[in-house]
Amino acid sequence: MSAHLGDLAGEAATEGWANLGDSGDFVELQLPVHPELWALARMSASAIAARLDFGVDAVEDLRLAIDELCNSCAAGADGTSRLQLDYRWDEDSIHVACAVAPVAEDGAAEEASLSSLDLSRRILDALVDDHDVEAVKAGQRRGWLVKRRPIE
Amino acid sequence: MDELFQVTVGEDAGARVVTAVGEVDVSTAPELRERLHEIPEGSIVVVDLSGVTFLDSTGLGVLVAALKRVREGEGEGDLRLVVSRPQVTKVLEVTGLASVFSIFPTLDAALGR
Repeated sequence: MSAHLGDLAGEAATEGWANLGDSGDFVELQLPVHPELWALARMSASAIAARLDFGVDAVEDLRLAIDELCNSCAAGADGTSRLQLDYRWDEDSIHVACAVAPVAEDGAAEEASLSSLDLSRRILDALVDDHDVEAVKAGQRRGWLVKRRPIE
Repeated sequence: MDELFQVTVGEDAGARVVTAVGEVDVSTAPELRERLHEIPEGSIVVVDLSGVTFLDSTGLGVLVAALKRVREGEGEGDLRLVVSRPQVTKVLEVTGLASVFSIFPTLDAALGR
């Protein structure tokens, strides 16, 4: 499971950070899909953004965006599911890839939370520079986002 | 980590005042939903979010559901928000919900004092 999630996050990342280059800096975080642990994901994202001196507003934006990425990717997950986040960055951008497995195929669970997912999408549209959350494929869902340094 | 969130319900000036403090996310929103659901339809409800440091789509969904519910009953049911933190204002604005709720900067203003 762990290796498979890592591969998935890496594949999603390839799309999300195609122009990132080889900075060498990255963080991987893997969690059980227990929503009370989303705070750890938010904390790690804000720590990285603060380390890059992104500014208070951008740090807060990324904190909320990571939460929404986790919410979106975990729709249809169950008590056995795990979530992996991969953070990579350079001087001007932070790229985050997310993978969750196992996840129920798109359907009842996803429809039940459709309004919440729509709100998540609107929040991600507003707070990050690029993002995507894919449909469930073979019991897994992937997503990614890019937050660039605000222009001063 | 749930100790990071608290919600209390009281009455003031004929309104039910729900005060939330801390982070409202997918793990704490059910508690907020539960407390709001205890309030009868048709009530005037003020949700004081001035102590909320984080609000995500799950929390917004709870507030939208509560707004629909209080307006379904007989009477002048309404749900007003007290918001003072910029990050909470921002999430209401980017989702288009700032125009759906009546938003006030202070509890006194929400209660018409």
